[in-house]
Amino acid sequence: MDLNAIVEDQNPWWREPTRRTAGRFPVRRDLQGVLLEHVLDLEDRRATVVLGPRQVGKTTLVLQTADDLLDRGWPPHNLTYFDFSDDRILQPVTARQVVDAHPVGFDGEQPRALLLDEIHLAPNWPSWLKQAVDRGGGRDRIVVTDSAASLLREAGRESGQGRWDEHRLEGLSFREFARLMADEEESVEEAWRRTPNLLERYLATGGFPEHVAATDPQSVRRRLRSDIVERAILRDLAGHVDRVEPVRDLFVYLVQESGAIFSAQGASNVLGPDVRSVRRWISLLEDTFLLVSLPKHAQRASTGLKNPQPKIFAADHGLISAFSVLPMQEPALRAQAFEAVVFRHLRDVARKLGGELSYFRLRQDLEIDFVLETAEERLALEVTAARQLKAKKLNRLRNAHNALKADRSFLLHGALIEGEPEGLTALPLQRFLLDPLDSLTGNAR
Amino acid sequence: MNAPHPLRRREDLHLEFKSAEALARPEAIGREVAAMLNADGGEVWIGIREENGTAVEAQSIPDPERAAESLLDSLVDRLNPSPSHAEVQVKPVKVEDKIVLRIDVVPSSNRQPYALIKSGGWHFPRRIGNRIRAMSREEVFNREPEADLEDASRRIREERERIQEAGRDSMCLLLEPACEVAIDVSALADELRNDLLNNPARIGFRRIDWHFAQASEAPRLGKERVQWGWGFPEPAYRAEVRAHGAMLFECALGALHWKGEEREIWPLCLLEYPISAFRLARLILQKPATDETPIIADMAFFGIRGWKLRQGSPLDGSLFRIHEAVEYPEPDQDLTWAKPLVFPFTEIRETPDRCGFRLVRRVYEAFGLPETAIPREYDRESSRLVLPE
Repeated sequence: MDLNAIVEDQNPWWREPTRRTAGRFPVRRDLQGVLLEHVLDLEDRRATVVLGPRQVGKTTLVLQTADDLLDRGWPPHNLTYFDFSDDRILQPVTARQVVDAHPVGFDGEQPRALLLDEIHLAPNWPSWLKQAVDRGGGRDRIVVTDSAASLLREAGRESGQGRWDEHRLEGLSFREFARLMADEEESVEEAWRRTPNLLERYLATGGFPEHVAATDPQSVRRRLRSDIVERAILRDLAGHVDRVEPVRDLFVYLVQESGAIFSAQGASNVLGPDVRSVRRWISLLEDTFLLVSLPKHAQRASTGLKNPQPKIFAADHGLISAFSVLPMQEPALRAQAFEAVVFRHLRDVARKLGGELSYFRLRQDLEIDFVLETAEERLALEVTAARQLKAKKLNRLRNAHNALKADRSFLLHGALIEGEPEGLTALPLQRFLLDPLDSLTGNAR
Repeated sequence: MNAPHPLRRREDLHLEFKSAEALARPEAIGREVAAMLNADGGEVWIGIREENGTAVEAQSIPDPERAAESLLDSLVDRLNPSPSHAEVQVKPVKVEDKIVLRIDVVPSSNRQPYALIKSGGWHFPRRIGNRIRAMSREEVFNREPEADLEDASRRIREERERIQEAGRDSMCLLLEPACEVAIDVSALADELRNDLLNNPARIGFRRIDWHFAQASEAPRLGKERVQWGWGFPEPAYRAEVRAHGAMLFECALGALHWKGEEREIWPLCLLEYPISAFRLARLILQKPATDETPIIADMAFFGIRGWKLRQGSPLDGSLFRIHEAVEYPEPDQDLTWAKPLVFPFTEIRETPDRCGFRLVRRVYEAFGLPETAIPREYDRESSRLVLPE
């Protein structure tokens, strides 16, 4: 199949202007509006890069953007979508080749939307993107997706400055999950109210859109294991290391230890490879977006430079249950999932507020799970899945709050906790997840 | 040990003969005794062979003293109310040169009807002439001691009407002990708060399942009752346990919907919620209730018109989708049943899932669906809800 035929096949609206491709994904992600706004804003000449792990829904997001543009009257022949991972492509295809594949009816005087999926598979794409942005003057509205951060890094952060905005697409947030599960015409809050086990289903299945609708969480675990190991690790990383199996073992180890302070020496002792290899593999695994690190809070800037003890989390809590050897009912597993899911939502909040996230640990009894530092204030957030709050734990949290000099401290919990512990804000996990930003900033009002 | 000779006498309202082999089937003997207790009393002879209703031969019972003791124990276990010494006695008796057993049956009219507990259910046999037939429901309820059952049924009906008047579209499940059991609701509230509502494994459920062992806020202790629920002020469900043992579980119809067409009941919700209610009842009543305590169970659906139900299990994947969802076929808004089910507590204790299943089966019948349409997650062989791990 030649390239033109593939491009035409991927852009059915060129032949039939009423054709839509994302109709079977009715729910829009929160990032959707941002993308659409960006493409429609002709004053903004920059491109948009959407980064996210495999299966997180990047393709759907881009196809929905195409549908929305067409629905708003965007000229069909001036909209090009291309998926560089199409298995019909036998020779490497450059972005330039795709751009040059004009359909009949293309109007060079009008703006053009270029939605390029899995761009890292296109040779020399960073150079092309730089030139396209510099020369296009905003006429070409470019959105690209990438599931490998290392390649983006190769493109050079400096090159990207002023040329493109990066957006991270993560697994579904709880609100997005609830929206997916809600009936038509039903609000997220209504869906949440009528489904007492909605959070538990979210915790059990994780946020990978392809899997969340499965009836049986066990099958989700099985599929995630196979998809993540087979594709994101064995296949994607195969070209970067001599043997990919030890990297897979390290990944599983880190997911099972999600939320723990990372020690390369510790991982080396448990798994066998030398510390240097472990450090390199960690970097590769972070590039898959499947693991996320959380730095230790540095009270002095100088400490931050040599911050040696990050915590490593599974990027999506679904990975924790998928790779754990423990049954889902196990409290330790639940506690890990709680922390991972809070971290996932806090990352959104931090991005929106322009804040920094870290964890605080002065000594063993002075710890706080998450610290959110914004220009205005320092928030401390402790997460617990415990059924009851013991006075001792609350005292430790207050002491940590004082040591951290936090402006406000929150206790995110999943239990039936009554009352407000003195000096702290107790926030049920469900309420926090439904509206993370408001539940944190709203308390300030 | 000598007694009036039974040989050549004929079976009648007061006389029944059983061969020695019948001892191997104590349930059959229990049935005869229960039937006499529900009639006019009499004698059941064990070790007397009969032909065409006439006693023709005495057969020796090995170790008759021990057999008599064992048989009496069995009758005490199988009959409800358990017969007293004045009501049932088992005696070794010499007939010709053989030792046989004679059961003397003297019913107490104020304790009738007597139930035979069999396969987890209650049966009310009654002796008519030399035969046995099951008592009709009217006969059971018209008995004076059944006033308790009648009262409980009335209370449950009134409660159902109150819920109906509230006008919510909901499924309600009501459990009402026919005799008062004392529940310490304050202690129960503590247990719910500290454990039960955060640990559905206590009733064998996972957190992701559909059950009543979770709450959006701490349980509320009221006057002689404890309440909990999900999603106040518009609850997805609410549950209430009262000090005298009554329980109410009400679930919004919307909470029975998970996926599928609009207003389609998700079969696992329909199966799991009632079963979780019975498992909770087992836990809560296990101390205050006795095995014999009759528990009246009623279920009702308000605003069910227009709702649909699909046969099979969603875990069957695409096979499940092949069947069309069936709409509730009646023109009525509500689905209620004239007669509640009665479970002795022993049945709730031993097979709570089966109790829930029996109520759910009525719902499927009301939708015109056969019992086989109920998801296979209810394992018919073990009478248990078996959810995938």
